[in-house]
Amino acid sequence: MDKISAGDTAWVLASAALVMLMTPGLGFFYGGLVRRKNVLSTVMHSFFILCLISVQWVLWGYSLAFGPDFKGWGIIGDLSWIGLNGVTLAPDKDYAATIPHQAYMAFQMMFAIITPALISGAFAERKRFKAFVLFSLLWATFVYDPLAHWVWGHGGWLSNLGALDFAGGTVVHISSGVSALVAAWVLGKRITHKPGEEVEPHDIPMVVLGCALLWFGWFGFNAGSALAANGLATSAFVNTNTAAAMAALTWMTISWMHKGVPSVVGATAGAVAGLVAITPAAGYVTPAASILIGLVVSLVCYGAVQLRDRMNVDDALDVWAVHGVGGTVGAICTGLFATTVINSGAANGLFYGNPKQLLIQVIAVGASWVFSGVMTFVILKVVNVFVPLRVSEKEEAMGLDLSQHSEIAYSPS
Amino acid sequence: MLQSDNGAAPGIGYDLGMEIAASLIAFAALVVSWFVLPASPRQAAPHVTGELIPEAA
Repeated sequence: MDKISAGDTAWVLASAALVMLMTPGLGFFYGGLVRRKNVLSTVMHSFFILCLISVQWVLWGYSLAFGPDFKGWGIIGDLSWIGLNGVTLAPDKDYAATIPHQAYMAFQMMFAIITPALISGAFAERKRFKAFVLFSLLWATFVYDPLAHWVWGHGGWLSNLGALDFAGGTVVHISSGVSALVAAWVLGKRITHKPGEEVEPHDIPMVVLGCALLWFGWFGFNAGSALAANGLATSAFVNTNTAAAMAALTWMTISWMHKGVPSVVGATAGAVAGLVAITPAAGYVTPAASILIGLVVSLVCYGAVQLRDRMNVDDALDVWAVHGVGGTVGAICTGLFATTVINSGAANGLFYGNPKQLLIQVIAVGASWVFSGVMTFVILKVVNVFVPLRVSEKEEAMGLDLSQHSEIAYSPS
Repeated sequence: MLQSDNGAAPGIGYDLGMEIAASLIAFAALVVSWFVLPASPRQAAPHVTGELIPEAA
């Protein structure tokens, strides 16, 4: 048995717990942004997925994502690890040589959980709960698991190509963001939504709390992806905080220029955009580059929000603009700023004399966009055959807390 | 073959010093802007003016 490092194991398990906390944190973040009659439904989306994918991952998800490559195609893992058969406490040298294989599995599980939860922001306030359950299960199996295999799986084709994605810019953020746009388009607009009309968040302190929990958990998301308690984890930790902070400052400033006030919600949106963009780059770039990535992503994502406003798509909580576009910016910036000075096991980017890496990143981004978009459309159409995607107009007007869960968030007394 | 070659292409004279300089300039620009931007909102949101939001009614 390979020698297990106590430090590495402790850090990866702690990171798994940090990433787990991001999912209920996301529930708060989204929950505060919707109207009060839908807050429980929104929070339930995140909480339910935490439970659903925890089991799906153990049963077949981990095997599909990280299992032995099926027929050597580089597309999907096989089912030899079904039910965690063969996933022992001994290290798996292909993934992490100094921690128990189950620790690696648990860490990756938390990524598989939060990714479909991110999509829920796009169809908030109108999706039928049964349809949401079926969609989430199919999406995790047929979109997330294959994409994770492509980028991180042993023998995955994007991994073999040399695509750099430290903690999930493509696998998590582009996939969820693009899928969110498709889902919002297929479901249609909320009945009360008119182009250009803003729906006021019902609880901005809840939004800030959710953002803070996400930021805290993201240290596990990025720094934990070093899979060791070492210098690279430290580098990723520093980059994560730096990019988030700069992006929040930038977004707040842009909204100040645009609307005359420094927006609290805007600052939280900026922080999340920065965290998204640094996700693929965290283990490859310098802290100074993190500042520039934070600046650029807020500029681009703020513009994407304005663009979405003009599109005929009601992505309720701007998942595409922040995660889809932000993840794309981050993946491209990785191809620009990556340096082997930070991570000798990776590659240099364009600015350090290696233009091919940028091309590889563009291919990874394109593949993620196309695969996620097409598969999400197909899954939604399949789900709609069995369960209507949307609630009725009456149920939507009543609010999903009552119509889907027969509960209200805030007692009137 | 599209494999990364880690710098076989000619460099563009970019180094860490340029990154640090650019990030300093970006941060300075933000800080300066906060002292230039207006202190009062150009257009008030409904909850600032006291108009009832339909959901709150």
